Amino acid sequence: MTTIYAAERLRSWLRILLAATSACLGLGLVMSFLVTGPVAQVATALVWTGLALLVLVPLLNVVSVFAEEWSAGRRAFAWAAAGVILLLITTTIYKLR
Amino acid sequence: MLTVLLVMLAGVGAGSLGAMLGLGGGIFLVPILNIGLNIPIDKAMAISLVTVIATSNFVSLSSAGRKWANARLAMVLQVPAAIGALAGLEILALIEPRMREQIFGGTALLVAAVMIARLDHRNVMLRAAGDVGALGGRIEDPDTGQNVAYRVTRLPFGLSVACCAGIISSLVGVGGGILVVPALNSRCGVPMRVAAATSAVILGITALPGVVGYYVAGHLTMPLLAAGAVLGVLAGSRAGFWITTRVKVRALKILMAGILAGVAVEYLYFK
Repeated sequence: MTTIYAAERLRSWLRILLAATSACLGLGLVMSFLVTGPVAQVATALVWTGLALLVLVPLLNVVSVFAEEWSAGRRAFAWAAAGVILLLITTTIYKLR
Repeated sequence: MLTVLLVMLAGVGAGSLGAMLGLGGGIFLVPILNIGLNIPIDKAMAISLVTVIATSNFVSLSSAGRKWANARLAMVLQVPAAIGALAGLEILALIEPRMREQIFGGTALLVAAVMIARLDHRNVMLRAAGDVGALGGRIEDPDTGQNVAYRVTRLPFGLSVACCAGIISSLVGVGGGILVVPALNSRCGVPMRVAAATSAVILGITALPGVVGYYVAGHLTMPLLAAGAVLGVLAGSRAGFWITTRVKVRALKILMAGILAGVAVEYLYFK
């Protein structure tokens, strides 16, 4: 029950994260057109923050699927999600070589 | 500012295709960025990969997307797709670039033919109360307005295609959606809209290491253009889901087959 709650909570956080991503990107983009000088750096920082959050979401999404499947007792699918996380890490390391 | 607006518009198109057909949108976005706006190919591909993640995020988390995407099936297919992508990186140097493009073009043409041949084939089981198995699901079919169920069949075939899609994505730099969606729909019993949304989820996860790689290699250097493209894609994904529930599956299949045929001709004759 606790894990189901945790999975649902994580998914809610992910939706908030996705909204925050759009807000950062939108605000950063508008600011970059309107302001100059040191404030423009804030705009760029906002855009980069938005992009970083965007990239983080799929990974956290797989973690939430893992939690959801584990809590529902569907261990095979939970292990598939764990395998995806492992493969993501492996592929990232491979691409960084 | 005009460039950002143009990229945003292109993103709307790519996002719509991503949500409707499960394609990454790179086939559409990269030429616009590269040829249309003169952005170097590596930078264009980096921006395109970021937008693939945006579509995937929208499909996975929005209420519109979650209605169609099958997260369990996505996880199962993601494993062979990632293994295929890793294998593809290893065999990249063994096959001539032109040969790779011809293999991909030929495959796309074959898949388009299969898609057209099975245009009127529907996968849904009419009894919503039927057993859907471990990977199936229940959806409300917009074509009939009824609650229907589907069961995933020929899973080994689906897994093999996901693996091939991973290999192809490494060999020619396109997302695997172009293979996965027709395969799931034509041979594995998955309804077109579910196949498309599930593919969009898979593509976003597959794109993740690529984005990190491009960033580290110094190709993700146009944050404003990337932001514009992402915002366009998010709007386009919403529009795509709006459209997908208002057009017949037959129309989606024809659109998919048309895009596949266009891609095949491009890779076989114009690359």
